[in-house]
Amino acid sequence: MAVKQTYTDIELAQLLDLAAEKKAAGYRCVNTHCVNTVDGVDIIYTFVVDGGDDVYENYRIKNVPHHGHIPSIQGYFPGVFPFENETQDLYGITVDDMLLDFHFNFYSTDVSEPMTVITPEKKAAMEKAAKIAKAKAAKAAKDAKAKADAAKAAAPSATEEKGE
Amino acid sequence: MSFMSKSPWVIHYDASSCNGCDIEVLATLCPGFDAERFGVINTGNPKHADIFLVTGSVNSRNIHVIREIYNQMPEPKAVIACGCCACEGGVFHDCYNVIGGVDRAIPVDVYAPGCAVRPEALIDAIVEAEKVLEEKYEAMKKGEHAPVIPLDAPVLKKGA
Amino acid sequence: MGKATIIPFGPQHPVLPEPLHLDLVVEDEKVIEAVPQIGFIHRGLEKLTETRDYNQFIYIAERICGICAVGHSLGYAETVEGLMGLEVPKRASYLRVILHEMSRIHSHMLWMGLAADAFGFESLFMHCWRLRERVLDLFEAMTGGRVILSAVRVGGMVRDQDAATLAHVQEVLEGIKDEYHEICRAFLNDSSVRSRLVGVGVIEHDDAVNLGMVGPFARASNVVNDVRCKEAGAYAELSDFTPITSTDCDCYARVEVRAKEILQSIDIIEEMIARIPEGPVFEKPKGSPADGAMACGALEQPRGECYYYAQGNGTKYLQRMRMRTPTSMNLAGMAAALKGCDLADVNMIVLTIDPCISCTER
Repeated sequence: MAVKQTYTDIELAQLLDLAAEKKAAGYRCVNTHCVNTVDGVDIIYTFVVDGGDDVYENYRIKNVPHHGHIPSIQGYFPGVFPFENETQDLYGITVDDMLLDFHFNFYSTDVSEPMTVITPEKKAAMEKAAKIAKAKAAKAAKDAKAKADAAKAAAPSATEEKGE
Repeated sequence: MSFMSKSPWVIHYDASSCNGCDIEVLATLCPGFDAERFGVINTGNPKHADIFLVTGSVNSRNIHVIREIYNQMPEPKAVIACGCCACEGGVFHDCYNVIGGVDRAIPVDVYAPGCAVRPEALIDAIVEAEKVLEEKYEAMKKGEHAPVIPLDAPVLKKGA
Repeated sequence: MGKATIIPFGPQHPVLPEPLHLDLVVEDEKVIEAVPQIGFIHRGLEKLTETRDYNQFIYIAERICGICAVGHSLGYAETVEGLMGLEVPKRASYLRVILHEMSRIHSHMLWMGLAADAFGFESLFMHCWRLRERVLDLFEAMTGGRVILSAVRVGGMVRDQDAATLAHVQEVLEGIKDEYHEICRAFLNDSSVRSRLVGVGVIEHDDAVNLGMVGPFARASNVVNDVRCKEAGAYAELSDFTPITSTDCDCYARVEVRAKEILQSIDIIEEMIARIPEGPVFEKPKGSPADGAMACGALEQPRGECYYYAQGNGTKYLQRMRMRTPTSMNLAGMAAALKGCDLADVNMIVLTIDPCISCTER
C-alpha cells in the first residue's frame, strides 16, 4: 500500500499561517512544487512529522496567476530554497522575501519559464481530450434523460392499470 | 607506435550526465577492469591530459566549461564521447535544456555508445583514441594544429 | 585578521564526480560562507511526461541518476501504481526490496570509495570499488545491466528471478562480509582516517531538524528519519526495521552510519530471500490515470527520503510527475556544514552529504 497521504485545498493568504503552524507542531517541509494549468499555476506544499502518524499532508493553492507573486516559507523552513528558486526559474512565479534568492538564475535555462510553455502538439492533444470529454458528457446526459423519460412513461400506465 | 600514445592520461568531465557513465569511467580505472595497468591515470589538470572523456548530453551552462578544458589541453589531444547521451543526446535529446551531444560543443574523435557505457567499450575507445593521437602527432609535425574553440562560438553543427 | 577572498570550487574538480560550483568566501584558510551554484546538469526531464506515456516514462525516471537508478524506477512505479489503484503481486514487492537494498549496498560502497579518495587514501578507494564490482556482477547476472537495470516496470517487474539466482546472490553477499569488515576497520579505527573525520563538519541535532535534512546525513546527527519505518510500498513486507543513527554529528558519524547500513542491507536481503513467496511478478496496468487524480509516494533511497508526486489527466500521459530527491533537501545542510571549516576540508564535507547533483537538478 502507498504512504498515508491527504490532500487539502487552501488559499494563498493562508500559506504563511500554515507554515508557522506546521513548524510549531514539529513538522518538516518535504517538498514544494508547481503544476501548470491553463488557468494558472497550482502550487503544492507537503509536510510530514516523523514518528507520528507518518501522514504526508499535501496542501494545494489553486490557480496562482501566471507571473504572480507568492510569499516564501524559508523563514520557517530554510531547507526549501532549491524548490522556491525552481518555482521562479521554471514557472515564472516570483517568490517574495526569500532568505537565499538566486534571482531567476538558479538553473539558467535556455528557455525562460519552460514548464509553462505549451507546445502546439500538447495544445492540440488537450483540445482533442476536451472535445472527447464534452461529447461523452453530452451522451451521458442524453442517455440519462432518455432513461428518465422512459421511467416517467412507464409510471402513469402502471397507475392506470391499478386504477382499473 | 610512438611514445605519444603510450600511457595516455585522461581528464574526465560530467556535462549534464546522469552519473551512470561517470561511475563506469571510474570503474574502468579501478581494479575490476583496471585501465591503470596500461598507464591510464585520471588527472584533474587539463594541461596534464591527453584524452578528454566527456559524458552527458550537454546543457548550455556546460558548453563554455567543456570548451575551456579542451582549449587548455596540450596537443596532440583526443576527445572521447562516452555514452549515448554524449554521442547524440540519448533519451534526453528533446529536453528543453539539452543541446544534444558533445560534438555540438567541441570536435569529437571517438564515440563510445552505451547506456551506461560499459568499461570494456571505454577501454576499446581509449585504444582507438591512441591511434588518433598518433595521427595527430604526425600532423602536428607537419604544422597542422587543433582548432581553438572560442567559448562564445555558436553551437557546432551535427557531425562537425 | 585577513581579508575575505572568494575562491571558486568546481564545476570541474578531481574529487567531485559531478559538476557543482561553490563560491567559498575564505578568510585565512577558514571558510566563512559557501554559496552553492548548480544548473550544470539541468536537463528539464520533468517536462518529458508530455511526450512519453506513463509506461515509457520509467526509462526517463531511471536515468535521472545512474547511482540511484533502481530507486527512481521503483519510486516512480509505486507512485503511478498508487495513482491507478493497481495492486502489485507480492513476489514482485519482495524482488523490488532485494534489488533496492542491493542498490543501497553498491551506492554506499561507491560513496565510501570516493570519501577515501577525498581524504587521500587511494588504496582504500580501490578496495571499496573492487568489492563493489561483485555487487555489479550480481546485477548483471540478474538483469543484464550493471548500472541502469530497467528491472522495474509499472505493474511489477520485467523478469522473475529463479531460486538458483537468489541463492547465488545470498552466497556472494555472505562472501563479501569478511573483506568488508577489513575495509570498515580501516575507515573506523585507523588513526590517520579519524584525524580527517572526527570533529569535522559538525551539524548539531537541532540544526539538522531545522534545515529539514534527510537520509544518513541527518541520521548521523541523531535525527530519526527513515521512510523504511513508515511501512509503505514494497517495504511494507519488511518485518522489523530500526534505522541506524549516531550522536556524533560529524563526518566520522556519517561514515559510520553508512558503513553499518551496508551490513543491515545484507541482513534485509537475506530475510527477503528466505521469505519470498511464489507467484507472478507482473500485473498489467489497464487504462489510464483518471483526470485530476493525485498520488504521492516516498522511498528511502541511499541518500535519504525521496518524495514523488503524480497527477493524471485522463490520458496515458501524466499531467505532472514530480521527483523531489534527497540531495536537494540536504543542500542547505551542506552550506551550513561548510561554515567555519578549513579550506582543506571542503572536499570532505561536500562529499559527506553524498551529493547527487544530477538527482537534484533533473
